[in-house]
Amino acid sequence: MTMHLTPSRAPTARAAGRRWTGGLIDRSTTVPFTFDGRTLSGHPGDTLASALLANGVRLVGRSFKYHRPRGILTAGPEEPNALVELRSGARREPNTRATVAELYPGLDARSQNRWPSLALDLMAVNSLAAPILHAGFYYKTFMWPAAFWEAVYEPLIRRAAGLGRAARAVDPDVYERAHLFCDVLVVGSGPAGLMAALAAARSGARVVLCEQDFRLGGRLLSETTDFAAGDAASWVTAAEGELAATRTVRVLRRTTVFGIFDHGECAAVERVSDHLPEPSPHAVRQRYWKIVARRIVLAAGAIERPMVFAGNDRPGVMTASAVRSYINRYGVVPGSRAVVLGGCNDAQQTAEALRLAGASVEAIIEPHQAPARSRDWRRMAGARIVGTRGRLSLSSVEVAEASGKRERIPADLIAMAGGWDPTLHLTCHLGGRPAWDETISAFVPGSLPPGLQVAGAAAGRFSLQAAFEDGAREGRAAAEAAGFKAPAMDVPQCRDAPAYEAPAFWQVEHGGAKAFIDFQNDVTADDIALASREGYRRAEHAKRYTTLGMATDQGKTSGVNGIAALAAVNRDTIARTGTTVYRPPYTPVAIGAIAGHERGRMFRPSRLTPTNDWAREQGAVFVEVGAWYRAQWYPKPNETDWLQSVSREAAAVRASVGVCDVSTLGKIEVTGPDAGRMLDFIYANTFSTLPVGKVRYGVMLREDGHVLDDGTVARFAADRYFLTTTTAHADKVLRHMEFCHQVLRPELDVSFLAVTDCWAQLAIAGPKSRDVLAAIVDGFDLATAAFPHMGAAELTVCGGVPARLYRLSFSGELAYELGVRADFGDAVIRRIMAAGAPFGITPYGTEAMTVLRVEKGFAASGELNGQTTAADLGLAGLLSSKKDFVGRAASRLPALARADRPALVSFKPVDPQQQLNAGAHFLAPGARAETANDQGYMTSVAYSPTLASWIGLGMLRDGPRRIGETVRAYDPVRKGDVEVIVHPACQFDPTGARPRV
Amino acid sequence: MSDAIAMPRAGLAGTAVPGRLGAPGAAGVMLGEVVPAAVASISLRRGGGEAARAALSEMGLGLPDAGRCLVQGARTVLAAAPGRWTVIDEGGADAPAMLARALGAQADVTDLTGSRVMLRLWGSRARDSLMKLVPIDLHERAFTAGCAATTAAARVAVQVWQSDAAPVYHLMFERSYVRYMWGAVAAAVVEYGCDVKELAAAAASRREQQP
Repeated sequence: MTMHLTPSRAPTARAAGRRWTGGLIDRSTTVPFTFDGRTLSGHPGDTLASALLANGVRLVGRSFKYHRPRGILTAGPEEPNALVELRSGARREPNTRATVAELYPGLDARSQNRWPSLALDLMAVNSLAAPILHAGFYYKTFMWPAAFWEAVYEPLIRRAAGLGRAARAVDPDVYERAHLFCDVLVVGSGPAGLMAALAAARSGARVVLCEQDFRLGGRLLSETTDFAAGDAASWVTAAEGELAATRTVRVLRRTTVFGIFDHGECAAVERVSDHLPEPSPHAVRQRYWKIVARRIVLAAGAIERPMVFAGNDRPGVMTASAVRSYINRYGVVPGSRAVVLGGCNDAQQTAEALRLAGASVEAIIEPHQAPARSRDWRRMAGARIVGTRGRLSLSSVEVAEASGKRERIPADLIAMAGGWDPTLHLTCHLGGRPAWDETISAFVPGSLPPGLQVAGAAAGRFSLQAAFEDGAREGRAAAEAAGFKAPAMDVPQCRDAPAYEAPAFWQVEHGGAKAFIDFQNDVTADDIALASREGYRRAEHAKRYTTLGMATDQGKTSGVNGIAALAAVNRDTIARTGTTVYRPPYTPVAIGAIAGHERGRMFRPSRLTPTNDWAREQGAVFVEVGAWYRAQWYPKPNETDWLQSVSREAAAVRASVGVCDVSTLGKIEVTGPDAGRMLDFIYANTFSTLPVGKVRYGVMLREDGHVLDDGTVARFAADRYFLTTTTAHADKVLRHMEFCHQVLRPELDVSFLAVTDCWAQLAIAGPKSRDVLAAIVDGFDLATAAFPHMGAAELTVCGGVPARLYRLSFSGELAYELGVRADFGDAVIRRIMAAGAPFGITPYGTEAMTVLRVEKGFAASGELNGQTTAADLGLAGLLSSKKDFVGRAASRLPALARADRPALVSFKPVDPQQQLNAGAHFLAPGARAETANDQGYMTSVAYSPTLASWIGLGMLRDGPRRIGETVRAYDPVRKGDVEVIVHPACQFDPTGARPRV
Repeated sequence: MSDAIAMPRAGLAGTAVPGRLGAPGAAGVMLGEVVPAAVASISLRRGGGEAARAALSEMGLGLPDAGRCLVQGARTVLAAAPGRWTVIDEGGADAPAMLARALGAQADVTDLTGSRVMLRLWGSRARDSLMKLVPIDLHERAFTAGCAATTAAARVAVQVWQSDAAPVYHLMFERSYVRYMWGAVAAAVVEYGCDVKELAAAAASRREQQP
């Protein structure tokens, strides 16, 4: 690839768009691409914008509101006009800025916001309606009738609003997140950024340099300024080489730092594969970097301001810096007959660049009277542009001279040198407000976030010399602040660098024609004036009212002109008019980059139980319970619906034996000499008295007296307990326990260890459970005399597998929970199935488990819903009166102790086959279905094959004293309205004899 | 029924197979599951520090400071939390019992064997891969051989440590997350090309599972 940074000095008169020599493009390779179906070609090094201009394409889009023809205004990320749809199908991406889209072979771009075509856009009739489509139009028009808001206005506005079309298919690309730490982060690789990176790197600091472009150098790539150290190209190449050779430096190209957060944390997006037709296999499309930096040097440069005059939005009107970029960097002449606007060095430089490129410079229009400095140009001092012409792009410029004389100058390019605005966005992300600097007529960084320094143009110091000096100084200072010794460094000396002259020029009289301030949002100078007249006189209010600076622009090109216009109509100063501030992201960031891998099945962590693979072999249907996948039921081939499977499983447990994986229960090992005392404090009932070798049901309250969770606690030694929590509350309970220990009872010597993953916990339930278990234990006596109800023991099973056994029942049957080391879970479930085969052992899932526990009236997550007290759940007897415990005081509050609170009872429909719905509300028969008559709600339902009826648990006002009454279970959401009879919570084996056999 | 001895299952069994993952060519990352013979947690009791250290030093072990690990032969001790360490023994299965005996009332030992999945990563791009997973500074100036951290990878709690300057990293997390975490780890390494290795202990475990 042949590169020439400095364009050839030999001018060759050519028409606009054609390439001459020079520029950082590789002419030896042709890159074909399409725009609106037309096949065109560019070269490596081109952006879509430069390639379009090279092909003479000037019209690239239609404006948002008025559908006016728009061209390319800038050469950078601030581009408000040239937004295109890139790629097609699932990769289609709207609102891509053509000025930053790197050209790749086969790039497929389409213009937006036009119908049927770009040249003939019928929606442009909006322009005719322009007098009524002013700022605030929507607010004023769509006010009444209110009934129209959702039905008529919203769909109407939504169809008219928005720009571009998002892809409808799933994004086929992959995105990821990565973390980076450094001493000094340098944002921007122009002269200031490169100097800062070099200075910091030479100190030995770890440096990260982020450049949003695909090439380092910033404005050095687009200007022809020579300096003493040689030409810009060799200087950039040398700097790049030095950084690449330094181990502690990481240079990230195509990477935009788009946000700064607390503690030096920055967010950046690296466009890893956006410059390719599609990511190579195994490569991501974009990478989100979280960069944590001790110091940050912001060297993001500046953005040139457009100028406000009648017809300033016509394709062919460009910022002067963009004109120089296209000529010098891309070797494209964006016009053949140019008018340069602005009375500053930038205007002069641009005129020279255009002339060198072979374009004719028709005039330099200096809006303010200024002495002519050269006889090379036609200078029109004190003149102003009063209008532009051209159907789809610029053909002539109407100029009014100072004398009032008007002239039409044929031109296809206007280069606006409107002065520069520092790219200070990142300084605002933590609440900093820009400050108005009268000497350069621009906002400069105000108060800076901790650790952030600003260098060069971003700080409002616009000369090349200042950029070099700032970069060196700030880079060294950053490294020193991070604890490194930064050596002194030589700063390149620029030849005759002229001082920056701020063009204090805001807008000219524009008569009735539209003079745009915000091209992207079609906000004109008149809209700003209207906002002011209607009382929106502060910058922030005017922005909301007019939509100035919204969307991708975010004030980059429109902010200062808007504020200046507002100040002018307010007859106030810019400083007093105020400014809007910036928040992340600096430029648009694809949602995919933020999501990374967290989509589809990777959306959040998921957990599998130790028997998962075995259960899959059995054809289990799984249900997500929090992060867990649990077997919900195990369908048999002949079963046609889930209820058949679930009823079969539940009945098998009652009749013989079943096995269920309950490993998802939260498990916590509590150890230490004060373990018992600690548990006495955490649970409402007492555990210090629990004998070793026993397990006890426990309930813990929140400080506010409501039930937090329930579970069982087993004691294996004087100083060792093992407790289980509900699946849903496992994390919450451990956090609560740590809080209770560390904050409330720090004097106790106790530790908690989450051991959920240590144990494959298998419930073996049913009259034959003892027989099954007997076949796998290694010489352990299961007889009730040796191992009674609520016994707990450590043992081995299956020939030496370490295990813990608990004789407890969540099903109302004789049952055991067997805990084996998790890595043996798969082997042990297979042994249990083999051992249980003679008894027809049936694996059962969470649904059958629910059937069994609803029959028994046992509370689970539906009842432990954070609104219920122990008394509500029929557990008042568990609240110890002999000790203090968390929630004790609040549980005695009158409101929680009231007798008529909704309390746990069970329900059967009058017609046993009528299905019940959890969530149904209880009403007295005949009572109107309104909140005032609400008597509680259904919390769990199941079909009980044993009782041959649907049954439910619920919280009914004064429920335990209303046994036998009939109430309505009313469920307007699912159109349920069922008469149910109130029963005691436990409908099966109320004496609890079965588990004790 | 308990005639044949039941065998444990490696964490990656049913999830990953040895072979190439991702880009072809020279592998940037090597990755394998280590199935330790024993994993145990040590929780220090009040005032038990000195005596516990003395007891452990007789076993050739120590209690590393926060953010550190000690690798002594087949045994690794990780600082897990204040007053808590994780001991991994790639050699013998009796480590929890031995530790409990040695520490007595100075500390509580809880057997965690089989509850964690431990991955070993090495190769020229191992660090780059890990940078995508854990939000900690892995640069050679910040994280060296002997460093350990309790942090999160893809939102899952993990312990990560570097056992060798090469560098060789280890990532350990709770067993139930293995399939999800494998997805996250695989996504982090495919770019560089990864050779999934069958490490000795895992191979033994898998072999023994054959009927």
